[in-house]
Amino acid sequence: MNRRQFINLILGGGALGCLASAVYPVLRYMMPPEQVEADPDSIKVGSTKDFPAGSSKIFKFGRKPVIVIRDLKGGFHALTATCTHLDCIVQYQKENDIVWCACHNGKYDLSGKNVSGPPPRPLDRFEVKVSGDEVAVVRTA
Amino acid sequence: MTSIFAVLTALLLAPCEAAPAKDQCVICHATMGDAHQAILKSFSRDIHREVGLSCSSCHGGDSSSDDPGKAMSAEEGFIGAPTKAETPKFCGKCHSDPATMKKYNPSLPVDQEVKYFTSIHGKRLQAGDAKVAVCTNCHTAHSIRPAKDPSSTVYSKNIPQTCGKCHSDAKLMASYKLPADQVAKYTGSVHGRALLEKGDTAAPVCNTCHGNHGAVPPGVENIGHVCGMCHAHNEEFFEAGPMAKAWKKRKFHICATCHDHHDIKHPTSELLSTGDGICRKCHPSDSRQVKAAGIMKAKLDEISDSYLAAEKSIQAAEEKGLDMAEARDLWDGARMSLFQSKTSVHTFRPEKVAEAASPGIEATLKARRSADEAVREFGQRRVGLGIASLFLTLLALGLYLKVRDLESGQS
Repeated sequence: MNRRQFINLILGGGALGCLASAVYPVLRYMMPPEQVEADPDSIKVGSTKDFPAGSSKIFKFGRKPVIVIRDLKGGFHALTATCTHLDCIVQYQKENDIVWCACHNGKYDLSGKNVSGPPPRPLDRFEVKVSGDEVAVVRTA
Repeated sequence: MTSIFAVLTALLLAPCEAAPAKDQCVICHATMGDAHQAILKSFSRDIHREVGLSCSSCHGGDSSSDDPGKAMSAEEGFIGAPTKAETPKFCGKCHSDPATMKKYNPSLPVDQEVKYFTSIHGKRLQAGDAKVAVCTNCHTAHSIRPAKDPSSTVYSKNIPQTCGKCHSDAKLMASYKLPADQVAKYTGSVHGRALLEKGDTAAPVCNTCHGNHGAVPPGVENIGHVCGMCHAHNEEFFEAGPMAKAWKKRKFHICATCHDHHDIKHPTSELLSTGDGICRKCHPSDSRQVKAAGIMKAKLDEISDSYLAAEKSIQAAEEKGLDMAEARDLWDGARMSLFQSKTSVHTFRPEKVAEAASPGIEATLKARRSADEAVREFGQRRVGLGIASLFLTLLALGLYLKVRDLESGQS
């Protein structure tokens, strides 16, 4: 290999490498990793048939768990599912029509107000919009 | 200085008086010694003062008269300072009367006096013991604040100190053959640390378990219900499990037998150790009960270790500035499983502990994998940056040499 060929090799290799360095991040950007939307304003949680009276389900609203409750009278409620005492996940107690935290027996009413036990604050409320059969949870203003 | 303070105190107190307009008690006592002035000063912040009551509302007498003989005469209903034995009835005059309490605080209970006489304090007082606590020992006499006020002696964070005034007095407690280390033990307990160090005012304090006005030690049969007020599943599992009957037969304190009472430590899996764990107090090492404890301990250790390892991985990733929100969510979810698996120990069934721990172990492994993968990618990006820099340098070098080569060819 003479001097000119060596210089061309360095130049070509460098150019190719630079091109690859530019193209690779673009390709990675085209295939982003699976991630939830960080801070949505609303989420669809299913149809009304998915929520018989006296039932509840927990969904991710962005990165926070939200409990969607259909009470015994058929009304919908959506509240943050994290207990305000020590961040345990709360659950709906159909028998007493309350939201209950199993960790330290904290109780909330269906408006999220802390009514008994150690929780120091109410649960945050979300709006539930029913459009036809579709149920959506919407961040309150 | 004292006289200036006396006049200021009189001015401060007099205009707030609901009735009468001129409070002769304050005017006269403000000119007396330091002890009188200290009472007037502390009473200026007392809840009773805030709702418009004055000295004569409790002590009787005629506060409009400047004649001490008349103002503090029996004819005017003057009671003066009650003795300790008289204090519960003295306070109960209003606090046990629904009609009176409705005027000031309709939601306040009116059973304090009744409850007091069901307490050990009240019973001893009735038996002639003047050393026991009465209303003023806990609430003070003239600086009474509502229980929700942080400056109140009965605000949750101040209760250990308030009870400790007597219950940490070794000499006084010795006269009742009682230990004086309860407050010290409580302070170091999981509940005491939650309240006093972490500021969790929901944490139980003396009166949560013993009652306040009706303070008594919870009985052997009641203690499970007392702890179960907060630890509902623990009580439920225990009562439904195989140990409850044996415990009752032997008159064991349901929770305190394993967890102690004032000195309740954060429970670790070591309680289930087959070597010197709590089960070994009754069961021999080769018994099926101790074997079951060993299995439960292994599962609790597995989830705890996995939980800690995941946290370490997440922290390592976060320290590199990586967004670990998803992994944190998984890790937070696993905490619930960790709680539940510890609670499930009270079923004394290893399969229940495994069932509760399983989702948590899975979530922590996933969180750990996610954090480790993020750190690996971070490393790859750094290597990639190095390679890209190398290629850029190579390109620059190639260009430089090429230009020189072309220039030398031309010349």
